Amino acid sequence: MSNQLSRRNFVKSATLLPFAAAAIGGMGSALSAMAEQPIQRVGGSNLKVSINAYSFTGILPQTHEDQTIGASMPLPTPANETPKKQKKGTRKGGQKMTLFDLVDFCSKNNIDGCDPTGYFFPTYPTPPSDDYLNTLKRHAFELGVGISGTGVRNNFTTMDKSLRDYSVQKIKNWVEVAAKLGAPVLRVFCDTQIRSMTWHDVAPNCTREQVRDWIIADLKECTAHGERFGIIIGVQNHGDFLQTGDQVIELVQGVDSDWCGAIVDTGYFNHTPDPYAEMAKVAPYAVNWQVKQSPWGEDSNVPMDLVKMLQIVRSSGYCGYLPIETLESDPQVAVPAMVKKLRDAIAQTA
Amino acid sequence: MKNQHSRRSFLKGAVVLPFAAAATIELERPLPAATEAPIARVGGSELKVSLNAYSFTKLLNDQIKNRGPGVSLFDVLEFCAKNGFDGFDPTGYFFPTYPEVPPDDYVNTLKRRAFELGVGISGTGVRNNFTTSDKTVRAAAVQHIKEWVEVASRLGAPVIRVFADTQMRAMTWQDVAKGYTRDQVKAWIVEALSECAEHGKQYGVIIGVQNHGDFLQTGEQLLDLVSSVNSDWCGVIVDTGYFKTPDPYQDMALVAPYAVNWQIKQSPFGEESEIPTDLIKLIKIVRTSGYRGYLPIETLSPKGKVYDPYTVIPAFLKQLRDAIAQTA
Repeated sequence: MSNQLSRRNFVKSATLLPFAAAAIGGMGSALSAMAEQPIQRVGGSNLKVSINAYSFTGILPQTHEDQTIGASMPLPTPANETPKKQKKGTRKGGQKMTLFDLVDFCSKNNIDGCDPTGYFFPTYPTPPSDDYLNTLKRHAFELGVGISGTGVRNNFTTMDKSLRDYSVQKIKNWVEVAAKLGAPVLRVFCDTQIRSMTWHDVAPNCTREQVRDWIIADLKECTAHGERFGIIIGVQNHGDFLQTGDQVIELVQGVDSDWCGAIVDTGYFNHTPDPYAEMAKVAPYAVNWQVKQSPWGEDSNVPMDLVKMLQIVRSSGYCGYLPIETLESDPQVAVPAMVKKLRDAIAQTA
Repeated sequence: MKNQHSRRSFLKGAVVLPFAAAATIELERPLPAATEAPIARVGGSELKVSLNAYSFTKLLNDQIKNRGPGVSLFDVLEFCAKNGFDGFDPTGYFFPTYPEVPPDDYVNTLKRRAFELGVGISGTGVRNNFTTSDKTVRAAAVQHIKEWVEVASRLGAPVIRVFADTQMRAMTWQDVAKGYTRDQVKAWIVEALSECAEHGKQYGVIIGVQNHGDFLQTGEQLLDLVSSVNSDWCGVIVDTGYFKTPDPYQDMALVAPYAVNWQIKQSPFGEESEIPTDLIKLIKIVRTSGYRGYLPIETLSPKGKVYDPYTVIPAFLKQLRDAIAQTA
């Protein structure tokens, strides 16, 4: 059965692949020989709107880890909770919310799904109790709100292997959380998630190929765990190691598993001349999206051309959730406004 | 956290229930005593349409039993995607291994394929018999449901459908309960469902009790049973075709506030009836209750009639979508 429905099965030879012509920059021949096909979809492009918890960052208390802690750091297991500091966000008059409130917000605003991201769970990076997860899952179901995915923070670009191992273990733990929650996909990074640092800083004197190879090895380990628990590992472009569509595809192809796909962050192809062209390249491999307000990053005032973006989504045949992530100080206003714009674009392109 | 979001914590007394006054159709019958509080919902009534695998029962069984090519659950899933269904209910007894649980690999692949196609898993279900006086049969059914609770959890199905009726052809609960009273049989069922709900709680899966016209013939009976289980992890599945009462819409309105899922049938009077379900009336009941989520349809193949799921299902889907749009 799994063979019958494996995307891998469609791969007979790289020469048949439609994207082979995309001539992925810097990609070794070993990779192109085992390149994966886009996801085979049927039917029209049926789209649902979701919101990422991050839109409420500052109101939803977020748990931060120190990503620079190195070899001595214990692995995150329920038994040995890692050091963390809770950032008491008070963006809007000190008003706090919980993930349960986030579900209520979706219900009140008729948003189809939500992404309760890992670092907004009170125990992060330690997995929450089953009781908490099950109750959150039931609450979402009772309100008709789907769980579109979840995610964690990790750093795979660093040359410090113990730090990468820590990230692998954390992702494995949260794969199991995602499974309990009914979240089909877990979002992970292949960029350096340390403020004002790049992969060159944390992998000094290493080549891109070296870094790519260890990221692929780490992702394969995570993906094998995802396969066991029925969770797709989604690789999100975040503007550092992954700046272009080809770079995302190269990694996903390198992992070469049905359980690894692309998360299209529409706001983080901002280092390319035409972010929409990058989105179009990655869309056939998408397992989820992050719809941002601007294709040029947080500080840009140039709005996303949502109709153009939706045409790209629809052309790819993508079905499922389009989670939005707003980066505004007043999400109670910004989120419904962005949802309306996205719904309008979905309707216009239907 | 847990207490804050427990339905039980809202339970102060049936007198404060808000929905009685809000019902579209005036409820002519009083609520059973000691009824639990309805599910607290917020926002408007957002409805998604799903398909129960049973609508393809012959073709699914053709493949499972090697009677012909038939179709697989994966084929029905693709049918759902092609026809614009929001969800799919891959029911337990259409998995090739049933009643044995399927391998993880099969479940994970089905879950992934549904996700790739943008089709939600609205629930699943099994067959069981809790009305029999044979304690070992009831215990085996509890064990069976527990195993499939774990399958449901793995599949991402939020609810598993079980029966409180005698699932044996041409037999009633009186036949298999062998002289025991209704109250005694109810106690057996409540005990069994409580054990299942406890397992559901552990795995994050709601046990949905479906009225199927035998032990559960009325809305009051369904509500009474689920209230007796008294767990956030046990709720009502409203089978719109299986209330054996003069006005089934009354029963639907009575139980709707407690619904965790539905089965939308073509007729409210059973498989053989030619009287179609008044879908506008039905959706008004659904909306008034505040229900949010999936409305799975289940089309039936009446004996002696030609049944083509490929034409019957899209036609019924369109009627339901029209009713949802008209009542929005």
